[in-house]
Amino acid sequence: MPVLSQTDTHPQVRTPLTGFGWTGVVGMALAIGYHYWSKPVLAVAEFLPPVCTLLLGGILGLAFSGPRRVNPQPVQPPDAMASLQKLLEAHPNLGECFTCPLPPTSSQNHVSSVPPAPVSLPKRLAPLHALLNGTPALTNLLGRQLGEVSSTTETGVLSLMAGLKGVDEQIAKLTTALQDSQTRSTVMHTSADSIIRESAKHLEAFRSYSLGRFERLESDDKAIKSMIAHMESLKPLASSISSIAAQSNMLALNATIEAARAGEAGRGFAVVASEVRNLSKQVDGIAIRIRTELGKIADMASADFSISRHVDERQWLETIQAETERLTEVLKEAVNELSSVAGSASTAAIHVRSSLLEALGHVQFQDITRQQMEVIQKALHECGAQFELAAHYVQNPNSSLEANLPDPDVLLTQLRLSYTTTIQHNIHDVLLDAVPSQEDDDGPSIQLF
Amino acid sequence: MSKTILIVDDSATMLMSVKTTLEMGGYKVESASDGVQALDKLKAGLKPDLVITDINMPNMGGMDLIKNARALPGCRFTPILTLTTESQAAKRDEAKKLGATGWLVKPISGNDLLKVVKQVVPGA
Repeated sequence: MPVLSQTDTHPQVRTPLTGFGWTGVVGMALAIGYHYWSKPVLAVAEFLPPVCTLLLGGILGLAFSGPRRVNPQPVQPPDAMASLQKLLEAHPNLGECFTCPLPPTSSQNHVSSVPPAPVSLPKRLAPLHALLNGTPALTNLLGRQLGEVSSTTETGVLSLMAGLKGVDEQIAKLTTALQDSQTRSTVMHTSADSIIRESAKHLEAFRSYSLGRFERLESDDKAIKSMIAHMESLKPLASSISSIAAQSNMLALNATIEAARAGEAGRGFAVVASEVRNLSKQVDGIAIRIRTELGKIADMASADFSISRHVDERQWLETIQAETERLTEVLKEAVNELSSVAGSASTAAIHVRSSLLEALGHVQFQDITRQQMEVIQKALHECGAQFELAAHYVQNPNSSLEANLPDPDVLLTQLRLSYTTTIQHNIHDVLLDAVPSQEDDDGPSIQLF
Repeated sequence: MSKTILIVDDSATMLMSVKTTLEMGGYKVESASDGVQALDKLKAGLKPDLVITDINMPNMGGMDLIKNARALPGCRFTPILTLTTESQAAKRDEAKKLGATGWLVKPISGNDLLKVVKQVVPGA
């Protein structure tokens, strides 16, 4: 029901619609504030349930709405900004959401001056909007760069661990080879030890034999010499026999001569003499044969003893030779084994060294990730500076943001120029759909000019 | 007599990695953490058989080091290799024009590094 004021001659009307109009204003203000500054508005909204908001709007509408004239002349609408300022003065917390400078109210103006146009909230928030619009692209890019750092780190560490594992495997192979070699060496040592002991026994036996042989040799030599001496002593006998035979022959010859001289009486004597001559010749022949045979016997005796000595010694030498050959084989085997072990150790050392050199290359990932992180740090520092400017802008109504805030595209370009690795360029270009520069063409990782 | 190599990098990890690799290869190693330190050593009389330098370093980067080293009488013909994360063709060309002997991209394995060093160091 319209309410008529009694204070004016012209009937005036206050309607509930005016109150609801003001409800709309407050509601819109809260919505904008909620959109941009959730926390303070929520703090206020905790104490202002929606129903109370509507009631407040209605009360405000009745309290602040001016009287409406029902006559044909329209009533000048009230100063909305002044009303809003009064509202903000009544609720300071709500006023923190609206720090934009408000134009002076009509009561502050001269009667003849035109009230300035109010600064709209969207215009005030436009630079912030531009800043926030550019943030997701930058944070997304930095996030991907960080992901690449993580990936590089993981790859580097895994490569390093693989290299060290390779070293461990080589050392394990070498250890196995050394253990096998030790086992074979133990067997060879046992075998060689056995052969050496046998050889020692044989050598001892040969030494004993040699000593005894030497003694026997001496006695044999004496015996032989004695035998030869005896045989030599028989030779004069044979000579004597020959001599006697020669003398007998002479006597027989003389007897024959005397028998011839004796004539007929010496005929029988001549026969005897002739027979004696024959006998002496036979005896002489026998003596010669005895002498010859004695010589042969002496030679044969010496030769037989010599052969016997050689046979015995040859057997011993063959035994020793066989033992020596066995020992030599064992030594050869041992030398081959040592050579094999040395070869295995040398090969393993080469592989270990190579693996270590590879590992030393893998640790370099730390320098790469450090440089990538420095770029990201710098970009985040720049982001932080921009948000500081934005916070200052929000807190200081008279400040200007546009002059201090750099163009987001410029920031991204500067970021791209600061990259030091190809992968950083690639991530940037892919995420921002940029055309790769020709300067990004990679060459080989090793190039000598 | 073993050859001397000067390595220049602002990363302690890189210095350790490259120094250990070269020492395993039988070389004597001197190190510096930026171009200024390296230049000071060269001016003080160090006559390395090879210089290996990073590009992106504080105080003085690798490009400036190459330029200044080439101006020194004792280093005009000393081989200088770059060892860097950079791989762009423009940077390579710039280093080549300044007098670099070769361009190596990180990471480089110890085996490859020793092969390259053997190629560029006279008498290695």
